[in-house]
Amino acid sequence: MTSGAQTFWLPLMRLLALTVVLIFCGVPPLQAQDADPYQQGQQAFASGDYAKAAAFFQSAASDSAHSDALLLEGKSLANISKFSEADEVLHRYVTLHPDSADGLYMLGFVLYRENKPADSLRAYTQAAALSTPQADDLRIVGLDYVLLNDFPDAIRWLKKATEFDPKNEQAWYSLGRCYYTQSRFQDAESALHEALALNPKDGKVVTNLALVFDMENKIDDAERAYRTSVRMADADPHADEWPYLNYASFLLEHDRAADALPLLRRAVAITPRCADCHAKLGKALAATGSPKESISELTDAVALSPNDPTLHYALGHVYQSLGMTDHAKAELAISAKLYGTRDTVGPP
Amino acid sequence: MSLHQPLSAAIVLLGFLPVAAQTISDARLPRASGQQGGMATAGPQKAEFDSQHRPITAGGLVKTGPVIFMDIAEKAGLTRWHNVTGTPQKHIIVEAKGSGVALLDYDNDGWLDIYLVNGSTLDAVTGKTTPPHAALFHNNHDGTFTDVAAKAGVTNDRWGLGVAVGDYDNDGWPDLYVTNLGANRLYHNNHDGTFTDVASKAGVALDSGDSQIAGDHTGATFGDYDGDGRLDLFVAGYIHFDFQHPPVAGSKSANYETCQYRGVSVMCGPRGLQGEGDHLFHNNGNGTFSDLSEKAGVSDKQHLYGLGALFVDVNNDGRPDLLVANDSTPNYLYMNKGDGTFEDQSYLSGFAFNGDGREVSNMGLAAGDYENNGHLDLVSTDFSDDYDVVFLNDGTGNFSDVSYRSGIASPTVPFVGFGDGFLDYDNDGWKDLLIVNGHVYPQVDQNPDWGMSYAQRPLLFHNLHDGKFALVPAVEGTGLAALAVGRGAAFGDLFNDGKIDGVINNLDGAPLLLRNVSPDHHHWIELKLTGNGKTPRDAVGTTVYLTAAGIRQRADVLSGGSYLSSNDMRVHFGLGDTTVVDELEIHWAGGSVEKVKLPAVDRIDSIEKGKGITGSLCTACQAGRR
Repeated sequence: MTSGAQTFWLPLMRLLALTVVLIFCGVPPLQAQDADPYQQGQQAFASGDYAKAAAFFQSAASDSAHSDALLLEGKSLANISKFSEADEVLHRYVTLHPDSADGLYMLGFVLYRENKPADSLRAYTQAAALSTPQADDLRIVGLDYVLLNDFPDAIRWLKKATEFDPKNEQAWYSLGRCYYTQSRFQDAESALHEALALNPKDGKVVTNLALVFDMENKIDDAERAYRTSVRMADADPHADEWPYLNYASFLLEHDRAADALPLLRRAVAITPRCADCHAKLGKALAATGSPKESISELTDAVALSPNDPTLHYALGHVYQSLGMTDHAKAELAISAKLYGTRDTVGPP
Repeated sequence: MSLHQPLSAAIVLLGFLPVAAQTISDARLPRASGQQGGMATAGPQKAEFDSQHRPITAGGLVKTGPVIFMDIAEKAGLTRWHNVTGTPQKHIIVEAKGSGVALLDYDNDGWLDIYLVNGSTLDAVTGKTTPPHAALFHNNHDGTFTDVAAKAGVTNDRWGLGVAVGDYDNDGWPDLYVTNLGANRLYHNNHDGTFTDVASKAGVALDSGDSQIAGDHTGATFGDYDGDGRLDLFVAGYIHFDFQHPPVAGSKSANYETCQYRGVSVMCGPRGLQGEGDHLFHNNGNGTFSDLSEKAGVSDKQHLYGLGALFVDVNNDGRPDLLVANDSTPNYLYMNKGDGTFEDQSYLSGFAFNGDGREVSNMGLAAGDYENNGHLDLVSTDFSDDYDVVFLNDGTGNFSDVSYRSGIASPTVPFVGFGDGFLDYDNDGWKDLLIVNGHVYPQVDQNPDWGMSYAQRPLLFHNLHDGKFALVPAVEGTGLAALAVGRGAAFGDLFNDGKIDGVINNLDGAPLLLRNVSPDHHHWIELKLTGNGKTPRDAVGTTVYLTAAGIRQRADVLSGGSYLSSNDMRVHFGLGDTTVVDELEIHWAGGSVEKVKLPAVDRIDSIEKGKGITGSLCTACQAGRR
């Protein structure tokens, strides 16, 4: 997955975790301390110990008095990202309770997280026949369509999500990203502005706004937004490498490799296993007259992403520039071989 | 989950189920900088508009400025002919590739004629309609042309793509090789204004033998790779096409991912489609050829999507090397080893990819020494969202991508480039560059946000003599402002006035004839070379160095190149203000070097190997201007 996609998806994952927590508005309140595993499950859930909650709800599931224990177990498992197990549990639950919209919505969400968008949409469709979805459900439906590479339908449902809840920042953000992906930059800019108005501190929205400005050829606006996103990342101890990488890519594109260097070094420091960060740093170093350092970075990039022919090609040509012909030939041969396997000639 | 919203009947009724989900073979996450797909190998680039908010590909015009080219196609009689290639909707990739054009003097009257290849339609191929025909426009020497294709027997009537000119039998008359979606033609010149298709007899038809299965043959180039004095033939292959199962979206023949561009459904390919191999035919000297592709090492085992092809000596060892521009895949550079085989140096030479180490959608190839240092540089045109690549040659066949440094990259990004050529349009002694453009997806016109148009204007770059080029402003109403879906392009002196003109074969339209009306008064010289012995009769593969006013220029006699096209084989030199040629050195194909004294300029001299100047044509002299 490449930079913009990461920018798009990683924060989304965090948000989804939050979504799951919000879903637990439906968990019955804790009554009293006793040995009932159902109540213990509720207690564990309330304290955020979802693994323990899942175990308690599993024990409680055999008790016919707690018919929703399976559902709660599924929710608990989803909260600790055990989606495959949650899927199995929730399937059992909706088989027993085919009229449970809550179960079906939850199943739809879990299936989305399992990267099973068509199955997820089936679950959401069944759920919607039972009760009206909320904006977040529609947002997940939209994202299912993203996984299906069907952006027009993704946009349709994300727009619907924003109509259901105009204050749903994440729906606006996802909508903006889909517009961006479709090269509908003006629409993307509008959607991201909505998201930013709802949460001015959302760094990923600022970063994506910068990308949109860039595509609209609003160079000054783009650089201003990139700088803001980097400033926000500097102040965030949990910031990832993307604000730095995106701004650096912008600078490299504008032949400002020297300006890109510190950003790329920061990106590499944050995520040492980011092949793209090392590759861009290597290219920036080559462009600023440091071929030996460039080789080091490109070698790291190749080690992290050994099947990327462009990295071997770049490394080979830096070797060539230093007169290291044998090394150059070796890397270029690998590049050729990788392209040979990648460019399959027949239909899939 | 509690519900706070009223029931939405619409949602319940419609549901969320994806109607087309089962036909989607590759659900994937979006790319870095937006979904792209289609023929693009780079992410979407910035939309660029002019002050009237027209896409820059159709706008950016100026009211006044130097007028370099005027489109005189209508006045010249060319617009009665139209290219027809598939349907306007372009559901299948073969409908979008267009065709080439060749400039040749088929009747040896000293004036260039024009051969325009035509496409076809699926209905015509299946016999439901009359196929469109190619045109052979005879030069009437008065600025007009007459289509004599039918009389000459070169209408082709197949789904035509490319054309190369070469005197393969050394009889002194140019022959034509026409590539098709299906069997190709080798039109042998009968010396009487007619041609005979001898492709099958010569063994170069590449007929699959199955009316439903066809190789999509594209760029062709003649060159004497083994130095025996006879032109050999190389033919590039694009895709392997099954008329019964065309690669349309949702079919098994196509990869869904390449059937979308920026999220919009478009024709599929080329990636994901079955490729077609390339062929090298050795000239046996008896009117037949032998396919030695495998033995020579140029068979394209990967079946990449070949388009432009050109025999040209890139390492100055006197032997023609072989270039193939591959669409959406790495280019080939085969270095001629001199023993009948080639070494694949695509990667080592730096020609396989652009400077980012990324394959581009290579279409056309221009070759020329734009720095006047004796090294042959290359320009590969490609898809929008990516720049046309300038490959600077260090003289040994190693190339660096200098597209940005040379000033070519940025202006070309929004355009889809096809035909291209180096030409010294103002005769200042420095080769300029003309690039012909036109998108492949008609859908771009329905998406104004993208900043692109289907019909696009050509781009002319003026050589600034320092390794850089400047875009020549497109003046309204001139040839540089002409909008068309450009494909093949060939360049040459159609009016024998020392000014290089251009002919563009437009997809689904009439051609453009860009007459060079540059207001300069620079001097020039052109040479029609004739070989013998180890040099092919039409001198293909010969390199000429001309020194004047302290500048040593290089020009090559080439067959093929550009996009599926073939240029004027006469070499042309602009001389600036000087009227004195200090030295003319001819490196004849096959080995020998000859120096010839040129007594005068502003004329077309005929030079035969070992015999010096054998004739001269000076139209200005005849008109009393010199």
